[in-house]
Amino acid sequence: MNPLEAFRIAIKELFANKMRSLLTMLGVIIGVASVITLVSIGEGVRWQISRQIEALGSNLVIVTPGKGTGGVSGPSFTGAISKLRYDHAQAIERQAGSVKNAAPLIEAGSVVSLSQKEDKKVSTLVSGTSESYPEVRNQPLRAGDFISRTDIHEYRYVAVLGDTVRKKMFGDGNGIGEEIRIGEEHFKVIGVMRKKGRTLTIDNDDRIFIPITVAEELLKTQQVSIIFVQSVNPQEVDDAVSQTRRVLNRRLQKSDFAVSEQKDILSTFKGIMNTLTAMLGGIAGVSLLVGGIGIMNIMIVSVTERTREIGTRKAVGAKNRDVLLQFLLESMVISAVGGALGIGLGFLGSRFLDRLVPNLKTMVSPRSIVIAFTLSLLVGLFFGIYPAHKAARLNPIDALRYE
Amino acid sequence: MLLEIRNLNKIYGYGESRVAALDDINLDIQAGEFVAIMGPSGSGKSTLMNIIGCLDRPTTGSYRLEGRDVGKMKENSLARIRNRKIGFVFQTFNLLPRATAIGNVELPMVYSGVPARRRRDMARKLLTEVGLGNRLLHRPNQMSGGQRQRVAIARALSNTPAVILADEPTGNLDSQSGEEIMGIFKRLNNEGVTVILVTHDAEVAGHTRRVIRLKDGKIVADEQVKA
Repeated sequence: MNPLEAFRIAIKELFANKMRSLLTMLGVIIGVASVITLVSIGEGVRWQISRQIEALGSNLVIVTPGKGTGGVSGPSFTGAISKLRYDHAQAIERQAGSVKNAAPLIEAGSVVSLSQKEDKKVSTLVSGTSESYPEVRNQPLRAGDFISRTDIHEYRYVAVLGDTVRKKMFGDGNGIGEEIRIGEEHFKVIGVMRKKGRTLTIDNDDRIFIPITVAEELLKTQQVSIIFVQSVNPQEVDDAVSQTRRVLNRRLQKSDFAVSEQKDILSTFKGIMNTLTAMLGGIAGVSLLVGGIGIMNIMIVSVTERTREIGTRKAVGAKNRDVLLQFLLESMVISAVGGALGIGLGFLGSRFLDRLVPNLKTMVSPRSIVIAFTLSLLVGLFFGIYPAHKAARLNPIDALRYE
Repeated sequence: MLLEIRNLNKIYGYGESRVAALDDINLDIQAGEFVAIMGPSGSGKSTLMNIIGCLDRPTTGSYRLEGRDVGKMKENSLARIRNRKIGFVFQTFNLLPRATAIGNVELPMVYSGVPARRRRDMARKLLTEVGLGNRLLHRPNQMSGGQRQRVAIARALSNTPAVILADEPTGNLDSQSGEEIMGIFKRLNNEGVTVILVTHDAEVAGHTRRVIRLKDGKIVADEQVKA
C-alpha cells in the first residue's frame, strides 16, 4: 500500500475519535510546551548573562586570587586569603606594555551613615581602588570627581558613591560635599558614579569607593580581591594577559592568582548555562515521556477495539506491514500534531513568563523548536511500535471472529 | 483446474490433544462452478473455507489455486493472493463501520495499488450492479442487513477475483433479503464467476449446482444438484 493512503487512513481515524485524539495529544502538547518554555528560560538567562559579560568590555582582563587557569574564581566574599596587593597592580600598569590601566579593589562590607544623622544607616560594600577605576570599568561619573592620584598618595578621606548607595542615602540629591561615616571615620563625598547595573548577581552600584591606601588602613587588610586590567586596545588583549602573567609570576606563586579575559569568562558561563538549559529541557522531557505512554495506552485500546477491522483488512489483502504502517502513522500523527500545538503553547507560555516575571528574559530559539518537535515525533514512533506490531501480528481468522 | 486439493490434512494441537480438523481431503473445483460446502458445526467446513481462502495453511497435503501451490506460501504472498484471487463474503458482513459504501468497496483496491480515481469509478460501478447505485455514500449503520451484504459482495468483486468465498452469507438476513442475495450470487455465476459458499442451510445449498458434504473432517458426499 502507498504510504500516502496509510497517512490518509490515519488522519480519518483521528477525526473519527476527536475527543480521544485530543486527550491523547494533550500529554504530548504539555510535554512539548514545557520543554519549549523551560528551555526558553535557560536561553534567555544565557543571553542576559552573555550580554552582561560582554558589557565588561573586550579589552578587559581580570586578575583574581587563588587557583584556576582562566574561567572564573570568586572575586570576593570567598574568605580565602588573597596574595594580590596594590603594588602588583601598579607593577602591571608600569611593566606590561599592552596594559593601559590596572585598577585593584580592596573590598569589605561595612555600615555607612551620614555624619549628622546617625539613624540613617546603609549597609554596603566599601571598595578601595585607584584613580583608573572609572575608565577601566567604563563607568563614568554622574557628578563630581573620582578619587585622584593625590587622594591616594595623601591618604585623603574622600568617598565616591555608587548609584544604589546614593539613592538610599540622598534620594534624588547627589550628596556631593556631604560628610558620611564609614565605621568610625568620617569621609567627604566628592563624586557619584553613573548607574552600571548588575553583573550576574553582583550589584555594581551598591558600593562606596575610597582611595585604596585609605582602605588598607580602614579595613586593616592589604588583600586585593580583584584587579581590573585594561589593555591598550582590544587587539592586544592576549598580549596584556601574557604580560600580566609574567609580571605576577616574578612576584607570586603560579597558584596565587588567575588571569582571565572576557572571552574566557563568557565561554565558561555559556558552558554552565548550556548544561543548565539541557537539564531544564531534560526535566520537561520527562512529561513528554509520560505523554508517550498515554499514546501507547490509547493505541493498545484502539487495536483491541478494531480487531475485526484489522481482520477484515487482512482478509481483503492487507499485508502485515500495511497494518503496521497504518497504526504507526496514527500514533505519529497524534504526536506530531500534539508537538505542533505544544510548540505554539510553549511559545505563548514563554512570552507570558517574560511579561509576568520581572527581570526574567525568555527566548524561544529555533533550535529548541526543532529539538522538541523531533522528540515528539520520536515519542510517537517509539510508543507506537508496540501497539502497531501487536495489530500487524493478529491472526486474521481470529480477528475476523472477534466480538 | 481452478482449485486442486490433494490429501489435505489440518491438525490442531499436539500429542494427546491432537485434533484432525480436516482428514485427507481431495477436491477439485473448476472455474465457473457454483458450489455449496455443507456440514454440521465441527465438521471442518470453516477450516476448509479458511484454507481455500488462504487465511490458513494446511498441515500436510497440497492446495493449488490456478496451478500455484499456495499451501506453502509465505504470509505476504498469501495476503497478495487473498487480495487478487479471493473475494470474501462473511456472515457478519465485516464492513468498516466508519467508511461509506464506496469506501468499503474500494478497500481491496487500496491494497492492490489502484489509483484513487479508478478505484472510485470501479466501486461506483460495482455498487450499481448490486443495486446500491443510490446508496453510495451511506455508512453500514445507515443500511439494512441485505444492503450491507450487497456492499460486501461488491467489495468481494472489486479486484475481479478467481473465486468468491461466501461463509453463511444469508445467516444474518431475513428470508427475503437472503433470497435476493442468493439471486445475486446466481446471476454472478451465470456471468462466469466461480462461487463457493459454506452453509448448513439446505435451502441455500439448493440454489447451487454442486453440494459437498463434510463430516468429522472428511468429505462424505459430493453430488451435482439437479436443475
